Amino acid sequence: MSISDEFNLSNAQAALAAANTPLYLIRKLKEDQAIFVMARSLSAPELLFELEKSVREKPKTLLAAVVPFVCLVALFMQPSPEFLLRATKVKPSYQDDWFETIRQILVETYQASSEQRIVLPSALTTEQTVNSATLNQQSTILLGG
Amino acid sequence: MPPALVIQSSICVETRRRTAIKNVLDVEAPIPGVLQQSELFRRKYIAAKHRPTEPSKAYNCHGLTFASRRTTIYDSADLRKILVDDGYASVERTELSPGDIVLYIGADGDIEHSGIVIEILQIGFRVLSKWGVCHEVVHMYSDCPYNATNLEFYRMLR
Repeated sequence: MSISDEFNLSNAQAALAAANTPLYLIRKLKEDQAIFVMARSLSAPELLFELEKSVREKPKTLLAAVVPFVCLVALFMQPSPEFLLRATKVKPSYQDDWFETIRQILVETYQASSEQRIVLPSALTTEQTVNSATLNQQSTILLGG
Repeated sequence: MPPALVIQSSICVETRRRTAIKNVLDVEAPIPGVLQQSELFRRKYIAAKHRPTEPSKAYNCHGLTFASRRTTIYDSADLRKILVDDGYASVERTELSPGDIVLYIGADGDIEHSGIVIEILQIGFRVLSKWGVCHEVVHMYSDCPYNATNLEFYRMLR
């Protein structure tokens, strides 16, 4: 099953079609819940593999065209930059100025995510995970007695 | 005989002070999915006037605003050079006039969209712009896929 089958990339496609600049595309993809889910569902090696696969041939559809960017942003959301850095070795088989630009921006702006466990004394027993896709930080808040 | 048109290249675009402006001219037909996405925009933004133009990779919003639809410009630094070199003057929103330029500035300073003001209304103003690789649209300034909370306006005085 491919990424495009498993995750809803309709918003990502809309963002790519409307994008006048690479930074706009990056911002919209970082806000896309489907990409956040993808980043949490797939491992970094899996994302890198999908990225490499997606740039072997020139994309023939809008959906195929957005997959490389989706993979890059999902790699950006990983807790370690290792595989995002490995992605700098990936070379599309076709000319795409935005791929190089977006990859470079993501590498340069990467911030390692950190996990903080904050236990608050409370009668409630709700566990909530909050993630800031923009800052790539994740906090787990435990409410419990 | 004119030279053959290469599918992806750039053309000579300069400011009045001869500063070269980076651009990409891609005349390849839009890939499947773009037409459908254009149609989705037409249905989503029903209050806008969607011009009878086709999706095109040849030019984007900045190419329409600053390069007569000839090419795609996507570097914000180059757009700033155009504003300075070509003598654009900043305009207050209260003094807007049809023909002025509007820039949509993203949170990170990226000029994510631009267009030409074509009508001033009591509730706002209408803009002619191109939406990425999709078609051209005449729309209320905030009725579009771009962040309209930080706008800048410019006018060419001479």
